[in-house]
Amino acid sequence: MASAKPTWDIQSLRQEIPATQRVIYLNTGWSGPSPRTVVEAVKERLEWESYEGPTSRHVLESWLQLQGQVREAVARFVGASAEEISLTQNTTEGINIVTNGLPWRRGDEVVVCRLEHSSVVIPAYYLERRYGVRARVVPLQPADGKDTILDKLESALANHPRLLILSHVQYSTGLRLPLAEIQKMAHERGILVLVDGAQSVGQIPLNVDELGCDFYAFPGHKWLLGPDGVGALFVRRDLIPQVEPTKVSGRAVSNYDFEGTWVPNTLPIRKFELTTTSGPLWSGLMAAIAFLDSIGIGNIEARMAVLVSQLRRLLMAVPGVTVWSPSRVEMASGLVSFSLEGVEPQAVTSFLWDDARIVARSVALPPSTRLSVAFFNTEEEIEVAVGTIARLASQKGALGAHKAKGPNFEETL
Amino acid sequence: MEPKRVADENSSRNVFLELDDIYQELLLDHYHRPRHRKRLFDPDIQAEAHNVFCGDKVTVQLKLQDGKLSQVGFEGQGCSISQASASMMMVLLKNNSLGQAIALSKLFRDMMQGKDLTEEELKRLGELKVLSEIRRYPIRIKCALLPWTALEDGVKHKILEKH
Repeated sequence: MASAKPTWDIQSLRQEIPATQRVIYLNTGWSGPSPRTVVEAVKERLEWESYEGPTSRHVLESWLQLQGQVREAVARFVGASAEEISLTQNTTEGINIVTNGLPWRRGDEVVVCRLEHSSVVIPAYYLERRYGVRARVVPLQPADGKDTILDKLESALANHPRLLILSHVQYSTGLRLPLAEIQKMAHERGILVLVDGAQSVGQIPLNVDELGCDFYAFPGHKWLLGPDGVGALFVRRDLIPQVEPTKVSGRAVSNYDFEGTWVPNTLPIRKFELTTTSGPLWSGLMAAIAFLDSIGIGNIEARMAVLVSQLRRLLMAVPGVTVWSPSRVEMASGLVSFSLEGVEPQAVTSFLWDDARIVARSVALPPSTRLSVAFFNTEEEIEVAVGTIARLASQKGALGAHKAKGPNFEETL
Repeated sequence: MEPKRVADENSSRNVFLELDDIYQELLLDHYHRPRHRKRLFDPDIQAEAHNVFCGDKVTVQLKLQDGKLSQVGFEGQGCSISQASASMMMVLLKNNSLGQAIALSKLFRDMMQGKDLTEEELKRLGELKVLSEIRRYPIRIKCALLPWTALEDGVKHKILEKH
């Protein structure tokens, strides 16, 4: 199992990911199914800490060590140094650390794109309310090619915003943005770039140092297959002092007394972190990174490209289906969004689950059902998924009224 | 009862009324014509210290060349004692090494905390020795120490960075 490279033994790999044995899991873009090793790591650590006593000397020492180890492991995975990694709970927390911590001036501008996740748009909108910062929205369209994207961004940057916030891979259509070119364009104009890496880390190879990133926020629970509740934020070393921590603890001061004197700790990235966090969850993330490393991110990306092109090809042959995701390999990712004429996306998503135990989700813009294809998915699963969609398409006269069940809570996640 | 916020010269004057004229003059001179009050470009060391009770704030910036503090600068706001202490500190630190700066800081702290210094030691503190008068007003000692607290923090981080 350790090196699945030469002969990709997908079946034994799937044995390691229990959810694949129960459902057709096409929703890693929301939360990835953890391998057994991750679940074991969480359980073992929780047991050990609880049974030994959580602040017994050896447990405490090990917890401190674990914080350092996970910072190292995460840093190595994305090409950063450990001093540039703040441990967070999720991508959104990382984004908020940066948006709320930069020294804004009234009248500054921030740029985001249409199609983006609410976790990018809302922190930008809140800047208006808090600091009088104007948010500009770039009118990105699902079918935009690389040149169009760069042109649209260039005209938005002409007004010299302070910050550009965008997702490396768009959650809605899986569009992979040409980040290196975009960052170059921004940096030439003295504009900082905050990247939402929710859909990229664990999916595509990444080196934030080589890419020249300023800020890069990402989760542990999606494509990294770690437990929910862990994530990280990369802040380039020289930018750390510029970002003021908005939630603070003793880690944010060098020195203080009870006579009112205090010295803010502006240099170390730990200033963004609060007090106790979960040892079991960090152990889970370590195990998740080890699991992906054993497969190799290059292999993951290559296999996903094959599966995604199969999915696109089959989907486009279904009458009434529109695929919203980009066709060019370099612009595409494991996220494939489609809509079926005459059927609400939520109803399609619901039908997939009811009819074939296929886990997917709907997105609002473009209104569509999104399938996340991960390396552990199979050609057969994709055939089943498209077969189910084709069945719905052929029955839609009768099933057109297939209603989504339950509340629509997807848009906030 | 000491006023909660001492951010202007008037309230500091209450202290000065009882200080000898010569001390008062020197302090107010540094307050009104602060030395090295400027922002440096690309400093090697930067640190700030605050006091939440009186609203005082001092940011210290230092640039090193050949092991010496070749350029020094501070910015801040607050009472005349904290700002004059920062100004005098800048004059004293310039062209010293980091080690000497820390030694001077320790000496100044010792003096402010009531330790008797030798003639030689007092001489090393230069103009700052006038601040020893402030010891009569214990609540103001922290004002005099504020810029030094920033200095110590900045130097500590610079030293940690090397390891």
